[in-house]
Amino acid sequence: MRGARPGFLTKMLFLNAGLVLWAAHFGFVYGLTGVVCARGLGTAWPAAVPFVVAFATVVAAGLSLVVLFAAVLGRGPGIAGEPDPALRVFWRSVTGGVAVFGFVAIVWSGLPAVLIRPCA
Amino acid sequence: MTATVHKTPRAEERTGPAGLPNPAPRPEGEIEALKHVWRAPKGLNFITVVNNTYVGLFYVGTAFLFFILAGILALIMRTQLAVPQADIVSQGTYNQLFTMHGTMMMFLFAVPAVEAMGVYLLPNMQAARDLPFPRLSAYAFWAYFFGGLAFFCSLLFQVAPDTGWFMYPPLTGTKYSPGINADFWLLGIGFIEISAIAGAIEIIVGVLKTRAPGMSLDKLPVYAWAMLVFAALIVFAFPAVILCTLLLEIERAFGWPFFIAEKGGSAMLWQHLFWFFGHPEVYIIFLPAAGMVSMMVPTIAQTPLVGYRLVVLAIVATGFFSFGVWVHHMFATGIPQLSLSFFSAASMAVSVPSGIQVFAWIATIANGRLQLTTPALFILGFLFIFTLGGLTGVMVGMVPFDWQVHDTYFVVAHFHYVLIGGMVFPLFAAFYYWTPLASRKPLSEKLGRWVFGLMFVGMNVTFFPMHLTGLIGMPRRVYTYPAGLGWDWLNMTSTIGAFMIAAGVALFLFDLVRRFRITEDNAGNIWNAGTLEWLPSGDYANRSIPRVTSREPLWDQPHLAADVEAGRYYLPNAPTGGRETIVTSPITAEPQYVVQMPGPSWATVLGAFFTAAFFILLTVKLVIPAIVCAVIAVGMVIWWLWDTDPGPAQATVDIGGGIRLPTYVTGPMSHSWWAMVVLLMVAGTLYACLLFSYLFLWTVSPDVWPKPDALPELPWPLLPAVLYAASSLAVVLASRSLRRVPAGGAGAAGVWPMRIALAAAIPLVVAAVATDLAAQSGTGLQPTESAYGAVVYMFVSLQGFYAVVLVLMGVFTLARSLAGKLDGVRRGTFDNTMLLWHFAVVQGLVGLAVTALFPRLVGG
Repeated sequence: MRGARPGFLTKMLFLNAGLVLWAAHFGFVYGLTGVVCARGLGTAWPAAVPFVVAFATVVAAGLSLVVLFAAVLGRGPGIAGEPDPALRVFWRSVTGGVAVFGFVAIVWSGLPAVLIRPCA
Repeated sequence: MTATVHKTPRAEERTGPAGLPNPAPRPEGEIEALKHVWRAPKGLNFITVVNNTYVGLFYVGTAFLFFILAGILALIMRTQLAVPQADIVSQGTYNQLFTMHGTMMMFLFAVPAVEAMGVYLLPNMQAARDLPFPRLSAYAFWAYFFGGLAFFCSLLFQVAPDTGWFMYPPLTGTKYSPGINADFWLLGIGFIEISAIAGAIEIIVGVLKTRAPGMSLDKLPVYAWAMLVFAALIVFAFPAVILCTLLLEIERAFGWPFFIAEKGGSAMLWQHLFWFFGHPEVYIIFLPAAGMVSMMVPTIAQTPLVGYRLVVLAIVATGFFSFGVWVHHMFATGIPQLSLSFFSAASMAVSVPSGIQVFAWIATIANGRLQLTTPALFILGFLFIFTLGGLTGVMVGMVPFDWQVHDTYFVVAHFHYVLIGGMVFPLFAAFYYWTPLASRKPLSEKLGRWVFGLMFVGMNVTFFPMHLTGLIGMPRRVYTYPAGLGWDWLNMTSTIGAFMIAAGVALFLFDLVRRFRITEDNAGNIWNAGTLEWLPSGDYANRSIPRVTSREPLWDQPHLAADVEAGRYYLPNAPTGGRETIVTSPITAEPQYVVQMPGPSWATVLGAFFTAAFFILLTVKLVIPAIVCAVIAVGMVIWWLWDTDPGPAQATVDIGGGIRLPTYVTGPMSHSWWAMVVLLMVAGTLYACLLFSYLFLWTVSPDVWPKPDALPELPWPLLPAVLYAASSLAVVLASRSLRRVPAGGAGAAGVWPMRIALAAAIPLVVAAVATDLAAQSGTGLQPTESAYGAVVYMFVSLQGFYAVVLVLMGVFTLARSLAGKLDGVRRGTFDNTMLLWHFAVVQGLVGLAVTALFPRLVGG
């Protein structure tokens, strides 16, 4: 079963893609804010933070929607080509659900950037 | 008791339908052989038992013992606080009491208890004969048992930790805590970290690789999903606490200033690392409890769980979100508001998946007919208490509110509602629910109602007033208070409630002593549950391993129990003559091979004893005896591992249904390969935490980072890199040579090239670390002079640790080759050594790149 490992990992990654995107987005926006504010990088960087966070939020949320649409359309690892109908439905539902969760969480986590001044 | 007794046809009453994997009746003597192989040792040797049913019970019992001990500490504290200006205990003793209460409840009760239930229940629920690494489970238990008792005894000698269960520096630094109290915490829970990680590896591999055939992930019991996410949380959360305890202990022992602000360190680094572990810890405790509830609710309502897929989704989402909330414990530390807002948002988001589970349980209860048994009462109590705790959690998740109640009794009330509601009540429900599985008699329903009543009322009487005590200003951790502040009656009420809880627990213990009897002839499926743990079983687990077709097989396959007991399903015997179970594919649970499992051994018990002794002796500064114990512990582990890569007993064995499976595999199909990969995830996370520490310290103290001209000059950073790469290359060459060695071919071509290549890799990796160390010390950098020096030497030290492990593993692998236990087929040991080798080399290269390039990049 030499080919099994990539299959399993890819499937699990796709199943969790929505929340993996959230984690990546969350780590990026927090890390960026932390470094910019802790190092006091002049005035230009703090001013740019809301725009960078907004951009990252749009990108991450967009990608989670792509995963959602793929799940809805029955595409993606773990769904397409799965012979067991029950397992296919399960994989599709959970992948789609995780993507919805991820989308909402990304937007929700990114929202403070447009409401609160960075480094205050 | 209103539960219906589920009647299944007895085995001898059924002749067996066509289409089942094996015919019945089974050959004479088969069941006796199975019993013989799986029997528990007798007499003193009984403590070497490794069967999950025994180790799981030992584990649960020990966790419960620590629950009682930590509860007694709580009673002493509540007695002290019952009236103002009491002097039952001194301030210093009180500090030890609350620190030990919190530490024991979290590390010696909650995590081990849920892990223990997993060890006991998972193989039964998945119809495996045991978890895939039974000796690892036993080792994890005994390390916890010996170490936990020794840790608790520190209290008797007034040297227990006294700075709170989260051990914040600078209070825990040598300046303010010069005694060994803090060391007891930092080193004393080392064994718990080892134990928890060992258990997590066992559980991940067990859930993914040892399920009943047909139990694809969409049919996996919710509890197994919860344990899978629980174990993943341990893998990614525990390394942070391992690292921060290591850094603080090194600071205390050798003066490396990771947390000392004057030298560029930061106490905030501790808080980040600790809470990166500490908040997921809450879900590490809650998710398994929620998983148990998801198993019990369908039974008490006699209907399948509503929203199975949503519940799985909620468990997964909780696992992810739990890593995005750690800063909500740090709202009062001066972090920028925008950063706080990210965490505040995530803290509110994490309540959504918990809410989904609560609604799924309520919907299931509404969908069925609730049987108001004792487990049901505890579950209803859990729903009420946990929901209240969740609501106050949303409150403290909001920054302005948190600032008002920070470090007050409101927070104490909140987390006790979450933890007692979210974990203790489900655990008591589980005790009542699953006792008939382990004991000849179930626990008393009549007494159970009293236990529930006392605990439920007591819990609310104790902790609800604490919300008010906190709101009117009483801070946490004060050993007494003046009269007339309005706190008096609230504290007295809380104390009365605490003794009500104690009365409930005492009544439970009385019932347990009266009725709990371990026997193979258990009370059986008295609740009419639908899941596999209720199949008839013995020391060998199930007589045969079923193929399942639904999530509640006992409801949907009415003759399953009888057919399993008659041996009509898979592997009704012991074809290799030893302990074995079926390993299945991780997603679809199709049989892949029959794994040969090790049996009882003193090596696990003694290895665990000396591991715990190492940590405890190190704490009390008995360094030489500690080192001796460490050497003996390593020796015991080597003894234990010597038998665990057995090679193929036969080419294939027949498990029934025309399926013939190999008895030995290596590579990505192998369970040991999976275990090593999970271990590498732990190691990788630890290293990521160290990288984070490096970058964090740079952000707070860039002034201690060196100018580029103070760094090791070329070619110094390149030399260790080349040596690392060369050692990895040597291991690759060894692997290729080993492939050419046929089974049993001790004298075949390829044996000596393999041995020479592997032997060459050992000095290369040692030299890589040594040259890295020489390069850093050649610049005059000292680990004690600044946080920069400390963290750079920490990179080198960690690589040094890996070098020692690789030397041991390399020599062990060579020894197996020389003993004729290693060839091109039987190469599991080599593969594991190779995986760790490449990992350590990549890690070393990353460390070199960071320490050599980052200061140049940022310009010093």
